[in-house]
Amino acid sequence: MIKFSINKTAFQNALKITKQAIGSKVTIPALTKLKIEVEEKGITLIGSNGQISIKNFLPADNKDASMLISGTGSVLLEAAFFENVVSQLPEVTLEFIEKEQKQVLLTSGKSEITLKGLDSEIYPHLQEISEGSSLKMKVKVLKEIFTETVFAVSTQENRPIFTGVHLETLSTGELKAVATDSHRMSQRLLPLEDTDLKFDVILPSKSINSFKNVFTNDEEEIEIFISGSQMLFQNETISYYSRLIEGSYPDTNRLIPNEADYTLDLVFDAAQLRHTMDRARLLTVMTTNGTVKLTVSGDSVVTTANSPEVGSVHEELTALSKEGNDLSISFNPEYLIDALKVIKAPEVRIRFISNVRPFTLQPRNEESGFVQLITPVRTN
Amino acid sequence: MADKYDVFDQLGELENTLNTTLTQISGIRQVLEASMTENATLRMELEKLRDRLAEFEKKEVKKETPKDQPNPNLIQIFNEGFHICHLHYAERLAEGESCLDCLELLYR
Repeated sequence: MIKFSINKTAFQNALKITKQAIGSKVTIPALTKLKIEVEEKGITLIGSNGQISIKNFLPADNKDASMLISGTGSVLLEAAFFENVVSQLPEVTLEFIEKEQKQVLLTSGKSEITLKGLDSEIYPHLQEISEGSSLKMKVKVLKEIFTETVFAVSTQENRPIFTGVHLETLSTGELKAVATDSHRMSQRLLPLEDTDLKFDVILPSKSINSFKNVFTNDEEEIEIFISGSQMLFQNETISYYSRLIEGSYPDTNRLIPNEADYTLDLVFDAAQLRHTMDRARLLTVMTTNGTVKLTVSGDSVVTTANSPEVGSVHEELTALSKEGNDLSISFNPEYLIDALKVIKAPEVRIRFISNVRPFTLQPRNEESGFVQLITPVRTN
Repeated sequence: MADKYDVFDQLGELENTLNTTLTQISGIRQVLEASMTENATLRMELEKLRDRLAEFEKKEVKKETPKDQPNPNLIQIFNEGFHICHLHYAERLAEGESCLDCLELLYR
């Protein structure tokens, strides 16, 4: 029978992490529950929604937790409800005692709350990965490449492979991350330290979004494992499992234009360009398929947006450098704004082929590792 | 207040009629969309077959369009608003919508 006492805040923080994996819309009712496993070495909180599973271990010697374990075992509790109850407890410490028939008594100060639990036997068995080669990476680096790509995934469920980010280790010793919704594409290459782990997987965008909330310490290093249909991210206490999207991702390299094809090469101040686009968007959001037109002629670069019901905007842009032919191209400003949001370099290099071909965006002076493509609006 | 119920009855009937009409419209729209997709598919197929035929007749492939010019028939179909890429073959494009794969196919 479980019996332990613990610092409330430490316990709450641990709960918060595990709860990232627990959703209300699950096919197996047991998955709305939180599994608590208590051993002498510490407490493990387990949650899963079938797609993502999180195992969060709180070691008994954790300084903040001031934990005292005097009985071991495991139990299932309604996750959302349990978290609410814990957060409402009055004192800084709480005592967790398992009673007969999987009932749990929570005491904190003068308050005593009894909760009905369930036998942990009914909880589905989570497939585990622990063997095999791994890849070590800083959380910060991984978050960075996730942010730089995940915004470009497709939201349409009818082509599941495009709802995820394609992660692939290349023979050049680099990691490639790419996402596209067929209107725009974002691809990032990252040189890797020596690793035996080779993979070619599609990680769902949902897993990527909750990854950020689970691994909050940017400076720590995590280890990545892959087996069959799952990917595991692991640090000393947290194991974050995500299901992978089945299917093979199409070759996206062929979409990137040849250097020789470019006819116009512009460099802008990224922040300035973004503000210009934000202003243009004010008008375009009012109409469906609102577009902004970029006209380059001689030394002038002008953006215009027209919305019959609202009005129009005309703005001259300063190109930091310009080389190539004149061009007039229309596109959805939304795509350019999204693209600029993830470019951290102060200057952005945009290159065009023609008004019907996709154009590329790259952070200036760091061109090799990061490239984004945007398609112009189709015109007859 | 008997006519009160009458009004509800009438509204109910109207609701049913509208629902039926809605179903009909959706049905017709789906049929039209399927036909347009099929039409685009057939046009592309026809073009391929014509090329094939020309090949057989002349015993050589006619290369009247230079390498960097996109296939005029495909680009027309694309401009009319249909995917020409393998993934979304002949599916409809929304107004102004473009597609990386289609463009790659047209201009590579």
